[in-house]
This record gives sequence, structure tokens and C-alpha cells, in this order.
Amino acid sequence: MKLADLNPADLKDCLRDNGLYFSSGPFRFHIHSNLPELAQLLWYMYADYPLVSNEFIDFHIDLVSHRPYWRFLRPQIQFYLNEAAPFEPFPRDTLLPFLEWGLNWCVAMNAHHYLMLHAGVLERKGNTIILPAHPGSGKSTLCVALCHRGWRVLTDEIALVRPPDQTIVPFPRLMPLKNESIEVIRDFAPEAVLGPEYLKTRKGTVCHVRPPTDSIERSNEVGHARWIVLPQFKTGASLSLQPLDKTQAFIQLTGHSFNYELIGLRGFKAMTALVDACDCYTFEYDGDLEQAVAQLNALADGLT
Amino acid sequence: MRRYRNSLCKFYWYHWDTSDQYILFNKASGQTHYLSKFAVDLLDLLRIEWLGFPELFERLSSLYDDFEPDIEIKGYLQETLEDLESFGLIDSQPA
Repeated sequence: MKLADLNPADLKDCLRDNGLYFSSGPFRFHIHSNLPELAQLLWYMYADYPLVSNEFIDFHIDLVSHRPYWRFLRPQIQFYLNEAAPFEPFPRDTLLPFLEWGLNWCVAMNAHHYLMLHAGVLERKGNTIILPAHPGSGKSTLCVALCHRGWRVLTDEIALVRPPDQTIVPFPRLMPLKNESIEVIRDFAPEAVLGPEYLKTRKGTVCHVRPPTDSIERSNEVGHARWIVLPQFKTGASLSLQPLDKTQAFIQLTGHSFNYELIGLRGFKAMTALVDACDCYTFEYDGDLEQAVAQLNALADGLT
Repeated sequence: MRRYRNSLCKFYWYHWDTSDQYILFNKASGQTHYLSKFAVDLLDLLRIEWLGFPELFERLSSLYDDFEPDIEIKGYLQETLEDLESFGLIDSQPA
């Protein structure tokens, strides 16, 4: 049963009473909340996530109104993980961006049985591309573009690499677009399912894209890494896919890892094996997403 | 000053033929280092016995052509030894 199989009114009751149990990739979440607006958001944006039983839950999350005396000026919400509040309260009008950030944070801080990379990961014809990138490099925009041109998205944010065999476990989450990229994607992929626009975030306007249904339904199919491509959006740049020395790729990849140093030798062995298995590139592109997708398709088809 | 590879360290190496750099993971510290071939050779020499500067120089001369005791090369050797010591990969003691 999927989340969309509930109706929004039932979902609201469910969130308020026992809470909602669902899975995203290998993780099982429990969200409990008294915020009525959350039900509609989840029903629309998390539509394809499977509902699960209340057993073996990885993260118990409570989202509740925070009630300081000045709450009438700017309502706030408190995020609890396992009954502890790891963050300051956040503005209620940024509910979805904060929830997304919070769930990703839960995973990044806890899932150390994986080597975790800040990277998008997509698969085409059985081969997987890893796109490690710093914020602002256009990673999310590229991921959204690729997954609306036939690639399966495994993640847009946290690549989960299994140390023993370096397979990549899917963790498809909402993909946050920022500022100009929102309109770019509306034009590029009119079929993409976009959520509300949030105007007042630290990163400017943010709007999330729902992962395609197929990507969520295939969350149990691991990826086999074939390419590591470091993307960089640059206005006016010519499209350029350049081979990258493996040691340099390794250095870059450790810089994009959430836990490489923390997991010690397991991380070193997994990272070297991962780089060893992949062809590595840097990729510069400007706003022409069709051209960028064509270039990566050519790479996947062995035409470069 | 004599030097020797830090006996508490446990090294794991990786190297791609296409690269000039060697990757060293030190399990004792959990740190990863990127080393030149010269630094790797130094660590290899210091794995066997405590060596002072003149002895190191002599052994390196047999490894490399044109390894002359000029001021530049001596400076480079000294700098590399200091780097390796600051990474905790070698120890030093007065001669």
C-alpha cells in the first residue's frame, strides 16, 4: 500500500493519532504531527512511498507547533527525533523544506553502516552514474533533468554505498530546486510533479520535485557504479566532459563524503574500490539541459 | 636527529598507475595522506631502521640518479621529513 492510497483526511488523522509509518529506500520513518497542513503536503509529495508496519522503525519524528509568546508574529515548529530536539524551532511556512532537510539529516548522522556521499546517483541500462557536488553546482537540476529523460534516480542527495561490494542502495527523496532552476525545469519537463514554492528559505526560493514513481518502486534495486562525474553549472560555459585522474577523483570524493573519516578503514577500502570501478570525469555545463543530458546519454551509450 | 617509521601506525596503500600520488590510510589515526613517490621511498627506508640525515642521503642516492647533496635537494629532504613527522608517520630522536 502506498501513501497515496490513503485519503488526505485519513492521513491527517493518522499523523495526529498514531503517526504515519512509511519507508524511503532502506529506512523506515515514523512521523507524528499535529500540523493539519502536513497531511496534504505528504499525500501529494510522498504519494509513492510505501506504507510499512510500526516495527523496526529507524527514525521516530515528531513535528509539533512551537508555542512561544510571540508565536502570533511568526508561527514556528519544533522537530523532534526520538523525543530529543536536535535543532532550533523553524518557521512554519517552511515546513516541507525543513522536513526534507531534517529527514536527510537523520540519515546522514546515523547510517554509518554505509559510506555516504553528498551526491546524486542515477542509473541507465544497468549502469550507474555518481554525481558528487557541492551546493550550487546544479546537481539537483541535473538529476531532475536526467530522471525525466529515462534515467532512474537512486538519490539526489545522499549516495549510500555498501562497503562490502560498493553497490549503491537507492534512497530516492524529493529533489529541491532553487530559484531560476524552478522555471527551467517547468519548461524542460512539464510532466514533473512539483510541490509548493517556498520563498523565504536561506537558499532563496525552493521548490521540490517528486521522484518519478518508477524510481521509488524500484528502491530495492541497487546500482552498480560505472561513472563518477563531478558536475559544475557555469553560466556561459561550453559543455565539457573531461577525464579526471583517479587519485584526484578520490580526493574530491572524500571531500563530498558525510562519514569517510568516521568509518575508518571500511571507508578507505570502499572508496578506493568505488573509484577503481569507475571512469571519472569533470563535467561543466551551462543552462542547456537538453545538451547536458545528451552528453551524459552519450557517455552511458559508450559514444564518448 | 635520527628517524624511524612510527611503530604504532598501520598503513594501507593505494596507487593508480596513471597518478603521481600515492594514497596512504593510517589506521592508527584514521587519516588519509596523499604522498609523492619520494615520501613513499622515505617511509620505506625508515621502516627498517633508525636513520640519520647522512645515512638517509646515502640510501636515497642509490635509489635516484642525480641525487646530489646540493642545498635544494637537502632542503627538499628536510621538508619532506618534517611533513611526515607532522603527519605522525615517523618519529625522531637525537642522534
